[in-house]
Amino acid sequence: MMWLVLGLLIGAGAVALAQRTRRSSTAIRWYEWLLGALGVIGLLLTLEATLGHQAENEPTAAWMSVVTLGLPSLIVLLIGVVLPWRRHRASLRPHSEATADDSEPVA
Amino acid sequence: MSTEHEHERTEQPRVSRRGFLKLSGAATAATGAAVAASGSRSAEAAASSFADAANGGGDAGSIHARPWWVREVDEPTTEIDWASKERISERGHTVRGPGLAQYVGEERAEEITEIARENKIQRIRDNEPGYTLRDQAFYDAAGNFGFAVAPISFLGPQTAETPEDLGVDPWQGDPVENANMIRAAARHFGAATVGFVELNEDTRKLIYNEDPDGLEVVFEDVDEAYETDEKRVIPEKARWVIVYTYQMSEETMRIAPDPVGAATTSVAYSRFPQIQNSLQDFLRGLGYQGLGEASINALGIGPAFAVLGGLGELGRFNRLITPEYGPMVRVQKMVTDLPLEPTRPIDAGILEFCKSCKLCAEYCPPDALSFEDEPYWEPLGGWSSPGHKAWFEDAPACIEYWRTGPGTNCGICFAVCPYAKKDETVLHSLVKATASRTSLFNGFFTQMDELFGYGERDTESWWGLDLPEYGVDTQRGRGQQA
Repeated sequence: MMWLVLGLLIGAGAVALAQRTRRSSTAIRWYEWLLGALGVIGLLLTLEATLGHQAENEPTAAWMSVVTLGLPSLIVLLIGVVLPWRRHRASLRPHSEATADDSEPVA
Repeated sequence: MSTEHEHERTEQPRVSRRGFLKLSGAATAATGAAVAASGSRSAEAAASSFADAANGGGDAGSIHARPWWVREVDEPTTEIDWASKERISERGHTVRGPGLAQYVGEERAEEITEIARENKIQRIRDNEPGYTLRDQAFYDAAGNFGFAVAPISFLGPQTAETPEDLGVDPWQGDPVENANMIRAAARHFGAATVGFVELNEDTRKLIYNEDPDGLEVVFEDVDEAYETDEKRVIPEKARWVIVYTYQMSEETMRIAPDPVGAATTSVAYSRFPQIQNSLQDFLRGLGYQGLGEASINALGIGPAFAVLGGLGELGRFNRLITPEYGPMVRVQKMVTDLPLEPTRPIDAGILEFCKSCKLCAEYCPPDALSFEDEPYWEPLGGWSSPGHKAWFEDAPACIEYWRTGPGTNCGICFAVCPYAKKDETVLHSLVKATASRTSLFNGFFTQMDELFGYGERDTESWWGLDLPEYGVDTQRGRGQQA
């Protein structure tokens, strides 16, 4: 049930993000979506591995899952979030240095 | 051509940004659902199990629903030279009983038994962690095997009414139907996995010629099995072996070689009388014979039959490693005249993994296990059956450590095996599935196994664990079909 709720929440979050992006002037590029998706999948796998190892009475392995899987996934996700966020902030500045290409919508 | 391609491209429906974003959201949601499915017993697997049950309990000749990465093969991964294989004596050749004396000498055999007792008493007096009175008492209690209340025998309890007693015909089923029936019954009596091997001129060599109690085991052209003071007689028509495993507690074994850790072996054995006696009486009730083990490790070589019957592969520490439970099983066997469809050997990449792993050999205190990369034909002594390639162990050194060291039956090699992991996280299944297809990452997997800290734990922490009945998860190994 927990996984079902998580799946629904993440799906709803992704749709909301997509709609917000549509209304915004800043587009999210395909590789940023990819990085975000990989990060989310990695974090889900981390959660699964951590809970699984706890169920196996393996606390050390559970923490190692967080370190070896969770941290890289979080970094990938953050890159996927920070890149468009920075572009978005740049576009809001009065004399933006953003190029035309930066704000070009994704086909 | 180029014009056509360009035309095709222009004709393809374009995915709008809105559509793309919607698809992304749906894909992310689907990912969550997929993780959900892999993290629990999936509905699909449950439905498949149900369909199997409705069809009579599974595919012809299969053991049960195996993990998808287990391949059935014609020959086991352990190479066998049947021409050089011979029947051996459990009593005279192996080191479990009086056979040890011929390898270390009578005097030393008695001496190490005495050392074990003195060490035990001294450790209790010193209140040594892991060897306190509480831990030793637990180990001794587990060692009762339950045989005091449920003795085991070659012919079985003989309490069930036979079809003849009831004036009805014996059970008639084809070998596949019989195999599925025996599998279902054995699992309900407490077995984990069940396989079947046909006894022929070759496989008979895996039946001991002498049982641990010194009685000969012979084949005769008789209708009914019988035993005397000198021998146990298997009828020629009893041409099938039922070989089965039952689980040990992985979490408990992790404390090996301390008494509590080693106790899981004994606790598992204590379930054996129920399985064997029930199975023997079940066969009797059907009008057939079930010829069991008169004592632990009697009748035949368990791991050998288990490998032939596809329950697992022979690992570096010369014991069975199963895809479902790793080495955390005991293996028993029974000869019967009920025709059974043999199950096939498997290749799950386990023996291949053992070639590079070597963790069991590294952790073995008396250095009784081999570090050779490849298995070999020559046993290290008379305690092993020749005629197959294996990493033969120095059994006398192993037993001597048992008695002069912890005073238990150790089990460190079982505990440190990378396959001795539960499947609560999908990572374990991914690793085992990858190892079953390629040996490329085996070294990395071994390193990760150590890095993740699947090490031993202390006895004190074990007493605080919330473990299930018998310390095993009976749901494990189910619902893993492709």
